[in-house]
Amino acid sequence: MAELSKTVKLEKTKHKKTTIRAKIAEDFKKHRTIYIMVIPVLLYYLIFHYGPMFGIVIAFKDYRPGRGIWGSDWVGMKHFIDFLTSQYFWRLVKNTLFINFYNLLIGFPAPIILALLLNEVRSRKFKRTVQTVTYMPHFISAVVVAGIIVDLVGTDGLINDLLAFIGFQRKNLLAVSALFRPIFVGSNIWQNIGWGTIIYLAALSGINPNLYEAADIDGAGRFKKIWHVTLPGIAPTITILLIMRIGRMMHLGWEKIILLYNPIIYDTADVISTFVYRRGLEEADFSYSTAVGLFNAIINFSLLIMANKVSKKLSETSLW
Amino acid sequence: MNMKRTIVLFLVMVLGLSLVACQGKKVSESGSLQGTPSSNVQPDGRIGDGNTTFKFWRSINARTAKVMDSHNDHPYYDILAEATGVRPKFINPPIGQEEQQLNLVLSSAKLPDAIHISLQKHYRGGVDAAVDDGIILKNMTELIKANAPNYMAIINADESVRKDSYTDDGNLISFGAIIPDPEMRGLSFFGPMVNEKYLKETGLDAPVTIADWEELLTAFKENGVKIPLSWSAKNGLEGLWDAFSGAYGVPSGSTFFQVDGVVKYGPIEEGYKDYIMLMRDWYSKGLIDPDYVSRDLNKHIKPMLVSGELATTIGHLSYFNSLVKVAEVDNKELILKALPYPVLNEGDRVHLRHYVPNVKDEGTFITSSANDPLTIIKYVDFLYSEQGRELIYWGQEGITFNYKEDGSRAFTDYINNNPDGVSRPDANRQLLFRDLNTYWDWGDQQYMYSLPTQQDGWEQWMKADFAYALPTSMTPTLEEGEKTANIMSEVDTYVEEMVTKFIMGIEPIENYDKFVANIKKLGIVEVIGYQQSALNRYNKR
Repeated sequence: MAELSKTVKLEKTKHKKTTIRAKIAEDFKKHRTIYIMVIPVLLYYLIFHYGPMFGIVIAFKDYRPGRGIWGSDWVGMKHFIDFLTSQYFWRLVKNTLFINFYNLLIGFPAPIILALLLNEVRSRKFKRTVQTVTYMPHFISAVVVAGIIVDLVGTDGLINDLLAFIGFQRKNLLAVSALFRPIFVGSNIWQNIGWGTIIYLAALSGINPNLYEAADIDGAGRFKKIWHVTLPGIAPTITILLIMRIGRMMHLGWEKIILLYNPIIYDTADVISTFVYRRGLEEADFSYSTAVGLFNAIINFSLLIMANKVSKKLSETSLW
Repeated sequence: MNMKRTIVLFLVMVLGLSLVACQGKKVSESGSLQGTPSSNVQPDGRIGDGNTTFKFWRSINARTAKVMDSHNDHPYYDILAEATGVRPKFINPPIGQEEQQLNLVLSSAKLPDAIHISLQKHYRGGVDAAVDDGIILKNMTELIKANAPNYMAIINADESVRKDSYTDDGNLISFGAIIPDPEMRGLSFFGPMVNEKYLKETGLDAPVTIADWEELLTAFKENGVKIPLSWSAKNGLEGLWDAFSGAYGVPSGSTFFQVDGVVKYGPIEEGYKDYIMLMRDWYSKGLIDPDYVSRDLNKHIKPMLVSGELATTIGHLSYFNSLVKVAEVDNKELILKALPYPVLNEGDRVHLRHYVPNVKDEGTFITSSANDPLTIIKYVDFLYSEQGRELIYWGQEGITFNYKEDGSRAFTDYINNNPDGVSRPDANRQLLFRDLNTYWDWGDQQYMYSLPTQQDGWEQWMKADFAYALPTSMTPTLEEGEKTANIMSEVDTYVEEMVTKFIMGIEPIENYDKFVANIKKLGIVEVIGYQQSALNRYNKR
C-alpha cells in the first residue's frame, strides 16, 4: 500500500514538473510566431515607457545637468514640500481638477448623445456626411486649433462680431478668466465629438435587432427603446471608456492650454502640467518640475483606481 | 512565408534601433572628458588647416532664417572659412525655442563643442555654476586669457569693461560678447516716440511731464486716433523700458534696481503704486490699448504704427527709417519723432532707461566635450580682430562697402538698395554675417542711424540716465542664485498677473497693500538681501 502511494506521489510530482515546462515549451512550439511578435512590443514598452521611469529619481535630487543624475545631490522630499506649500498649489490642483471635470462632465456624454442621435437617423447619406464632418477636426493639430480659437475669440474675431451685433462691447474673450473653461471645453468637444462617436456607433451596430422588435411589440416608443434597449446595449463600452478616460484625466489637453493661456487668466487656466512645463523647460528647474509631475501622476493613478472600484461596485448592483 | 519575412524584418529593425539607443549612451558617457589642448598653428598663419571643424550651437536671427536654414549656408561662411582655415559646423535651434532647446541640449549630456547663449540668464546659478558642474571647460578662462589676444586687448583697454567681463569667481562672464565701441557705451536705443502728424493736429507741444502726456493722449483720443498708446507687452511691462514708471523712480516690471548702492525691488516701492494708478487711470479712460497685454511687436505694434492706428509707443531707433519707409511705400504718412522719457515735474531727471551695457552676457562658451578648445578660442578671437570685424560688419570692399575720402566706410547699393529687393535690415543679416557680431562698431552704427530724426532720438532719450540700473555682470553665488530663482519664479508670475489686473481694473486698487504684503510673504526681502550681497561683491571687485 505504502509503496503504491509512494509511487503515485512520485508520479504526481514528476507529472506536475513536466507539465509547466512542457506546457510552455509546447505552447511556444505551437505559437512561436506569436511569441516572437510579442518581443518588439515588450521591448518598446521597456525601452520607451519603463526605462525613462528611472528618471523619476531626480524628483528626490537636486539635479544639475552637468553632474548627471547620479552625481547630483539627494534632497529627499524637499521639492514636494516646496510645491505643497507653494502659494499656487491649491490653485493648480483646483484648476486641473475643474478643467478636467468639466471636460468629463460635458465632453464625455457628448459623443454618446451624437451617436444615439445618428442611430435614429434613417438616411444613410445624411448620417455619413454628419459623421465625416464631425470627426474631421480630430486630425487638426493642437497648434492650428489654438490659432483658430485665438482668431475667433479675439477683439476683432467672428464671435465678437456677433456679440457686437447684438449690442455687447467688444472684448478679447481670452482675457476674461471666467470664459477660459467654457472656451477650452467647448473647443475640445468640437475637436473630439465625431471621433468619439465612431466607437459607440460600432457598439450600437452590435445590438440584437430582435430586442427592438420585442420592444415594439411591447408598445415602446422611440425614447423608451433608447432607454431600455440601446443604452443598456452600449453600457459596457461606456463604462470601459469612462474608466480609461479618468485614467488620462490629469494630462488631458495641456498643450492646448499652453497655446491659449496668458497671465491674466492664469487663475482659471494654469494647471499642474502647464506649471511643470514652465518651471521645467523654461526655467530649467528639472527636479522641481519632475516632483510636480510625479505628484500629478499620483493623483491620476489614484483617480483611476477609484473609478475602477466604483464602477465595479455599481455594475455589480447592475445600475444599467 | 510572407508573414515570417515581415517578422524577421521587424525584428531586425527593432534590434537596430536598440543598438542605436545603446550607442547614444556610450557617447554621452565619454562626453564629460576634458578637452586636451593641442598645438595647432598652421604654417600659413591660419588657425586651422581648412578642414578643422567644431560643433557650434548658436541661435539664428529671424531675419537670417528667412532665407537660410542654418549658418552653414551663409554666403560669408566660406569666406570666413577661407580666412581662418576653420569650418565650424553650426547647429541652429528653431527660432523662438532657443531656451527650451538649450535646456534639452544641457540635460541630454550630448554637448556640442561650443554654445553661444547667456548662461548667466539661462543656467541656474549662472556661469560659475556651469563651470562648477562641468558644463563649461574648467580652464576656459585661463585658455582664453592666454590665447585670445584681440579679445583680451579690448576688455583690458577699459577698466569698467574689464570689471563687467568677469564673475566674482574670476570666470569670464562670456566670450564673444557684444562689447560696444567706447563712443557707444550707455547709448539708448529704445524710447518713447510719437507720430508727428497726429501731434501737429492737436496743436500741442512735445510732452515732457506725465501731465503733458495725459493731455496729449486725451487729445489724440478726442481727435479720433484709434489707439493713443500701446507697446509690445509680450514680456509684460518690461516692453516699456521704464518709460512712465521712471518718472516715479521705479522700473516698470518685476525688476530690481539700486539707489546709491542700496538694492530695491520695484513693485514694493512707494512710487510703484502711483505708477500703477496712473496706468489704471489711463486704461479706464481708453488712452491705453485695451488689448495691450497680447500685443506682439512684429504682428501688432509695427503694423499699427504704419497704418496710423497707433499714435505713440516705446520703440527702437531703427523705426525712424524702416517703418517710415514701409509707410511711404503704401502712400501713408508716418513721421516719427522721438520724445524724452517722461518726468513728473519739469526739470526732473529720470534715472532708468534703456542703455547699451558695457558687456552683453550672451557669448560663446566652450563646453567640457570640446576636443580642441584652442581652435574655438582662436576662431572666436579672430572675429574680434580688425579683419574679422570688417568682415562681419562691412563685408568686402568693393562689393558691400567702399572707403570714403575721410577714411570712414559707406555701404554700397548692394546693401543699401539691394537689386534683389532685400531690405536694409534684412541685408545686415542675410548678406552680411552680422549674426556673429562681437564688437559693436561705432562707425557702422553712426552710418546706420545717421538720419536727423535718429540723431534727435539719441539726444531726447539721453536726457534720462541709467544711474539706478544694477550692473549686468553682478553674480550671485550658486546658493543665492537658486534661492532667488525659486522665489522669483512665483513672485514674477504673481506680480505679472496682479499688475495686469490692477491696470485693467479687474482688481480693486484697495487691495494694493495686500498685494505688497503678499510679495513680502513670498520672500522678496530674502532675495533683496541676496542681490545686495552680490552688488557689494561687485563693487569690491
